[in-house]
Amino acid sequence: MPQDLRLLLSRAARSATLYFKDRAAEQDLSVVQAQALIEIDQEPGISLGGLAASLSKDLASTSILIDRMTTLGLVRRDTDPRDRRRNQLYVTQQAQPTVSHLKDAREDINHLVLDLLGAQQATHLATLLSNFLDALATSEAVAAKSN
Amino acid sequence: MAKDVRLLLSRAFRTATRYFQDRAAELDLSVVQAQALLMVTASPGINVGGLAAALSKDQASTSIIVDRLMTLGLLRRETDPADRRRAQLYLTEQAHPIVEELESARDDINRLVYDALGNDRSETLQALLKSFLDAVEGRELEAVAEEA
Repeated sequence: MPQDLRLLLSRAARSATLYFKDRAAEQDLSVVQAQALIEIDQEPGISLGGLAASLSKDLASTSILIDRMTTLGLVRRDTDPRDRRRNQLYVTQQAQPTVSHLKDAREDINHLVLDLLGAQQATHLATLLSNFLDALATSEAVAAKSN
Repeated sequence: MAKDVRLLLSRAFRTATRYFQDRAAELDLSVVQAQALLMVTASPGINVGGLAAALSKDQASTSIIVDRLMTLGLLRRETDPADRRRAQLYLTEQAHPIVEELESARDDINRLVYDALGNDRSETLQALLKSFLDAVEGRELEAVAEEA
């Protein structure tokens, strides 16, 4: 098993992110800010903790990220009516064109992968990556339970 | 294809790196320092430019990484006999047990993927990632040729 899979994943992720970074920069956003907008758009009302988990960031840096995006008028925080200590995050009306631009960028990257690998292999790659992440999440959940 | 391939790649990479980071930290090394040691092990005599390209870093930050690893006594520089302006990088004797640990961490991560997906699907994932990288590289070379 001489290959370094982590390194292969690192290079592939970096190549794909390079394109996304350029498109996010056109909107004056960093990759993480752009990703946060997409996540909030996909799950309106997501909590700060939920967003931190999906971005694989800690709560403190996610909070700073959201403060910045709130100042930019891209995200708003509402108090969760079921638990007033929690905030719910939403994309603002003003951010809608930006979100739509970022979704286009995401689709363009998917198309790029399709162009480079062909439809069958591109779908296979996405499925294997999902399977890998699901299997790890399951084994981590099992390990956490047994601890 | 409804999935976000970039995000999947990025999450899979981050997951694999989390394991590698823990193992590197046990040896008091950052992920990049650990990766640099593995690169020099794979290409003894590599120069700073080559190492920078392999790590996808710029030359200035790679020089800082190399300086730090030399201070730790893990790397040594030798003048390239073919071009005295260039330095070649080698592991020190002291680095060998550390590199063995890092190689074992790398193998453990490979095994983690194999355990999660099974042998056939792991091999397929590996082959698809390589095809993707070759295709990206091919496209970049084409773009450079068109600009020239």
